[in-house]
Amino acid sequence: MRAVDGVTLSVRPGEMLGLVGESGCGKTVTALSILRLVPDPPGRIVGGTISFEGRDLVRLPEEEIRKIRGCAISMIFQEPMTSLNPVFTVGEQVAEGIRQHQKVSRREAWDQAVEVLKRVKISDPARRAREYPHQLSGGMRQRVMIAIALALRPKLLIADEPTTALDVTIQAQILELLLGLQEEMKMAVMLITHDLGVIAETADRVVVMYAGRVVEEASVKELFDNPLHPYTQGLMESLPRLETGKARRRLRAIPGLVPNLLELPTGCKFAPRCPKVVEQCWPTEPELREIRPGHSARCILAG
Amino acid sequence: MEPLLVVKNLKKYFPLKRGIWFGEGAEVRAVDGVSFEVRRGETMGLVGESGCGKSTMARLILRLLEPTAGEVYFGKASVFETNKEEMRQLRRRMQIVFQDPYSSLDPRMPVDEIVGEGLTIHRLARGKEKTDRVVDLLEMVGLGREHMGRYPHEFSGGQRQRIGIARALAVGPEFLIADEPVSALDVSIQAQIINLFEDLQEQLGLTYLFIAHDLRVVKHISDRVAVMYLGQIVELADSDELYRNPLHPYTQALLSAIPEVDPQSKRQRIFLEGDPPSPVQIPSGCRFHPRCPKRFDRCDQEEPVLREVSAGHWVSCHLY
Repeated sequence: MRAVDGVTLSVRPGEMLGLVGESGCGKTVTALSILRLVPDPPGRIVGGTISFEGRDLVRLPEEEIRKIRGCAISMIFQEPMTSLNPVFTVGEQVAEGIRQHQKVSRREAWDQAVEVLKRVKISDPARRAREYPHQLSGGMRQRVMIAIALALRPKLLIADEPTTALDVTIQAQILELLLGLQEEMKMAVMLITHDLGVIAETADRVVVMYAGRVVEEASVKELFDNPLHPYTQGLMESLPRLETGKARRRLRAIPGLVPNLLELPTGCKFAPRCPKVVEQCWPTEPELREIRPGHSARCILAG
Repeated sequence: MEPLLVVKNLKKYFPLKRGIWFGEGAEVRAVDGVSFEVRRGETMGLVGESGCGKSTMARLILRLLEPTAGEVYFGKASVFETNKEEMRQLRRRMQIVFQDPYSSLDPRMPVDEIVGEGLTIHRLARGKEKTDRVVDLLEMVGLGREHMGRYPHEFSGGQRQRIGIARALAVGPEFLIADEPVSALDVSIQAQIINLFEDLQEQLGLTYLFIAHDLRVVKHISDRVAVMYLGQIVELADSDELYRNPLHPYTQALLSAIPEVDPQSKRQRIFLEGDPPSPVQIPSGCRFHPRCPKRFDRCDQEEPVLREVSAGHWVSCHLY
């Protein structure tokens, strides 16, 4: 099964790149591949390069990549409940990463951990550091996850659906925190989400994925003003709007099912669900083409 | 319009036995004095964050849970005072669609049995008549005869939710509770299912209680919306009115927290402090006061009541 098939994307220093797509589109596998976290077997990176500050992560020996993981590049996950270890205090879990990568005493690592917890705006961090994950709320746990990820001041943070499991008021707090920390620490962030609203509010540039491929890439303003790929257009139109006063309109759903990666058509992978499909869509898969400066789409009708 | 469902001062407390932290007698006040009506043919939306009591309320209305106090009237019947046989009759008229299409369908049952089970239990149809009815139901939700013998694992999330809807409709209900029916689905599939709910309502004249945490979805589908916080309704109004003119500071914060699908718009966001408190230790006075940006001295002393401040717009806040 080809979970990710020929994905090319770049994140610039200090940039917030949004990666958007539905379940099974390959966004998480792309992220895990960057850190070489896809279990092998069954997963294999069969081709391509991942260049980070001039080094190819795909070909780096395991011990080298371990130095990068959690240090220069780190990651936060969707589910803060299952990503934290229930039998250690949160302070210990933040300090553990620091001790892995820096030669510091237990005491110093602990002090640094408390400092990081303070930076993610956990109130009374010295006391909270001695608590266990189950004693914290969902939003607080996600802050701890962010603290672990940021403890070593990474250059790139990969955030995989960091707010999906949270309530909307807590989601707003966490996104605000991420944006603030990004600015303060001048790091690049790759934000993976299925929520176009989150993308619109946070990202500088957006990559849209479908069936393991990049189907569109543009600056956030350009993408929302002028979506070129019918899939991106469909995603935007299928969202209920909040405007009041207008008569309730039917949602324009994208027909069909989220694609099965084992039964993809030869041509454009979106063709079976595409409202604009023409005959030329079926025989060969279109290339990702730059339609206008900085805006590419994988559709023969674009441009 | 005549109400189909009337909920009066409904309460459900769950005792915490052998609590390590809370000691004897502590309880979770999941639903704490809720009253509202649902009119025949309308869609009533119920929003709130996790733990606010919205799912407990759904289960109380269907009497899948017994209440601590309060009443629910469905049509003329008092739900908690019916006997077993009357309750069975009532269950035909009120059905539920659950959130998780993965765990709410029996993995060992083929689709025709899942959908047809209610027909057998309520002795509504058998034999060929039952099969025909099942096919009708599947077609009504966008599936077909060819799906009858398949098992839930052969379907995608959206299709499973369609099966769940067909099962709920099998016994010919008037009233459907949809408990977060689209939150587990992909965005492109959510829209399909929302459209299906609307089509079915039109065809069958159904009344919905639509529970969700996604304010966008609730706004889209509901005629009226009730906002819950810590086991109580804090605001209730027509859908448009609520979104145009939210009165309760909690509703205002909730609405302002929805990410806008427009990178240009720079809306003023209201950030709430902290997390929702535990329903075990409910704050004094107004239960929202510790997080409220507009609190004043009266708020931690006196509990506000839900009052109608303009036609059809109810709010529970000392500011009004």
